[in-house]
Amino acid sequence: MSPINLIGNICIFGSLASSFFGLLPAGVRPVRPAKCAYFNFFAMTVASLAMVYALLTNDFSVSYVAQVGARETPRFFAAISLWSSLEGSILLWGWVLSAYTALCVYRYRNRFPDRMPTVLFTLLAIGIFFYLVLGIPANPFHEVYPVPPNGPGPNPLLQNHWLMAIHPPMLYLGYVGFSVPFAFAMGSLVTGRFDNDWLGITRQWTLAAWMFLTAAIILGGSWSYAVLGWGGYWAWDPVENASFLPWLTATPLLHSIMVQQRRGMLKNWNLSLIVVTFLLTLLGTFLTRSGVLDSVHSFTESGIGLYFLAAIAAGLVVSLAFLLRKYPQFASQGKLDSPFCRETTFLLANLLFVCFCFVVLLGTLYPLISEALRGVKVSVGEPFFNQMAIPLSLAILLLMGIGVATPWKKGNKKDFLKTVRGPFVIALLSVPWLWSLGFTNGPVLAAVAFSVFSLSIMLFEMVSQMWRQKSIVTLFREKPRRYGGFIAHIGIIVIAVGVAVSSGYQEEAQATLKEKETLTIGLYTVSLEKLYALQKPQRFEVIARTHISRNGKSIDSMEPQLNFYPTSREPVSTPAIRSTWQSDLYLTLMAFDEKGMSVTLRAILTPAVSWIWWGGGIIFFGSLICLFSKKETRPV
Amino acid sequence: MRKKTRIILGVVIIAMSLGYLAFGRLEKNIVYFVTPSELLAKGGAALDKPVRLGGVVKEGSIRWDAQNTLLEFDLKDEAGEIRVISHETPPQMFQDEMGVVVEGKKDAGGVFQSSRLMVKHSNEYHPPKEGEKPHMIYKELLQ
Repeated sequence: MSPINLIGNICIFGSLASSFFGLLPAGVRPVRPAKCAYFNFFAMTVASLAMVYALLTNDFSVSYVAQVGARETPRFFAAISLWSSLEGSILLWGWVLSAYTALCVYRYRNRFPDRMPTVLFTLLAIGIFFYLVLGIPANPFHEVYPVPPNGPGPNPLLQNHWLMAIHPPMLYLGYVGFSVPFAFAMGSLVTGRFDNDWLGITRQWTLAAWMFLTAAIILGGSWSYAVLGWGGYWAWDPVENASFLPWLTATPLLHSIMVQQRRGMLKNWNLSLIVVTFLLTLLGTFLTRSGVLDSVHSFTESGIGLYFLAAIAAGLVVSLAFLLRKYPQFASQGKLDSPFCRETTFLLANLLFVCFCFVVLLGTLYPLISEALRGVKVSVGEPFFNQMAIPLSLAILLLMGIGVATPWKKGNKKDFLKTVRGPFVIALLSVPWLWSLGFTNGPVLAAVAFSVFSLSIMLFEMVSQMWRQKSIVTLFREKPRRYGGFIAHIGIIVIAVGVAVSSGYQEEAQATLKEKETLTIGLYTVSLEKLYALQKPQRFEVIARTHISRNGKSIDSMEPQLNFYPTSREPVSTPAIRSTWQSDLYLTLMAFDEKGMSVTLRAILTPAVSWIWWGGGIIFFGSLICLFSKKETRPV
Repeated sequence: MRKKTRIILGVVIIAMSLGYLAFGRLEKNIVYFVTPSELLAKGGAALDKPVRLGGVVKEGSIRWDAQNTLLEFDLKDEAGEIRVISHETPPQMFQDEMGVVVEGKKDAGGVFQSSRLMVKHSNEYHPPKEGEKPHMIYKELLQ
């Protein structure tokens, strides 16, 4: 066996064995479970580094490298092709899991002696599952003999853009991150203790995982926008939905945790949400990796599908058993006092999110159910998702503002109306102004008006605080979680406006142009300057250089291109995008005729789409503030 | 009625309305996969219902009018063929004998009006199989 394969397999099976030892009861096991966790991290790091080394040095005796490596691939993309295909991405999962487990063990090594053993047991059990998958159905370190001279390279779509380096790791940091709150929840369920100390660390880890998942979803949309050439960023594709489902349960969880911290209520609800979020990450991986989406009957061919189904079933049975047995121990210590208090708003928002999750789950699973039960292959059209998502999102947007305006525990109608009066008027006045700007689409108007409402409520509070001689820095220092949360909410508002406006007002134009001929879209004129080609080591590029003018003034040149890879029948396009805060001009080279020197170009003008990416960054920034706020002896 | 009963009743009503809405909308938005012979067999029943039609492009049937962005071709399977009209530019590799999925409706004249054209490719990338030659004449562009 080649050295890399040997090292890789030793590390994987070593981690498997060590996790197994860590699960044994105290009298039988040879070593403390904490040491197993540290060993796993060490072994997984070595295995991952070995794989990256094999990819960079084109070691085709390693099966994964023979699958995704190629001598011509630029080294940057060769390194990150670590996660370009199934086996490598499971290796990444194993590494992130071992890192989170080790970090968790280390941080709380002197705290919570009653619960940490259960936490570690859970994390090691999850580890056993992934190391088993990594060792048997998805082993990237199989020996390839005779050693091929070269490989096919990674999927062309995955070596087109630098976002390949960021989106998958972020997604895994988020996805795998939810294993930790799940382990904490098991700790609670086993010991029957779910006090505020424990809740505090559960909240922190949930927030960290949520932050990464949010970033990953936005980056995923941005990447598909930049690469796929259709000018859109979200298609309710099952793989996209797989990443969205846990987000739809983790977001309300972050809020209902606050209710528990203050009032001791909703403990069972929170435990259930944590369990559901974790199971949804397993379901998401199952949907994406098992081949079940191609056909219900093909998923058993790869074997990995059955492993995941078994894990989901086991997780469901164990969690459900504990939840049903222990729920009286987590009974509510308070009750909802008034419809105008924040607890009520949070509860309503939670219900809306859960409904949203159910709807997306239904639409995603329906084709599978239909094929399994009736043998009929169907797909669920986008309108289903959009028609259900829009009213739910609008309601959530409105509640976001109302939640800020309502106090904890004691709220009354009079105070509530007084707080929302100003923002309501501003939102109402904004409607005719938006109408005059050309926004006449109902849902778009509602989205922007609700956003204005929620934003005004937050700004009113910040301004009135600063009026009392407090600087903005003091605000953040005194109540970092509240105002960090404001920033994250502002990010959501920016995204909501971006999504609403970009969906409602996209323009498109298509034309076949010879040199010097032009295409007009909006205020822009696109003219073809030249069609030429470049030979790169890993691909052949056909490029259309175009000249852009706006209102008659020449402003820029853009070069959409088509990339031909030797291993693929179709080219992959790289659209050219010119982004301003107002709108994006998006050019795709659809086809070309090398004899007539003409090109077919598609131009798409999308307003406000860059707001979505900026909004994502704002959310990330706000979450960081919340995450690292130290002054939290009492939640605000 | 006790407060708790009212709340539970409220939740049940909301859940049922949501379920009704969701399943109703779902039924309206389901798109079936069919092959040309299946669509022909449905006859009049298939008129004006959105479907996804999958088949292979019949040799010699492609007509592409670049000026009007009008694409016409025949889509066939072992037992039948249907004329397809599309107003989208075909992808660069669109050619005879290619596997294609079109989304749209069959009109009264028996012609399939396509609203979306997708070239079928598998999720796993693999080198071209025996006999599949990548279209390399664009290399003449290199001067």
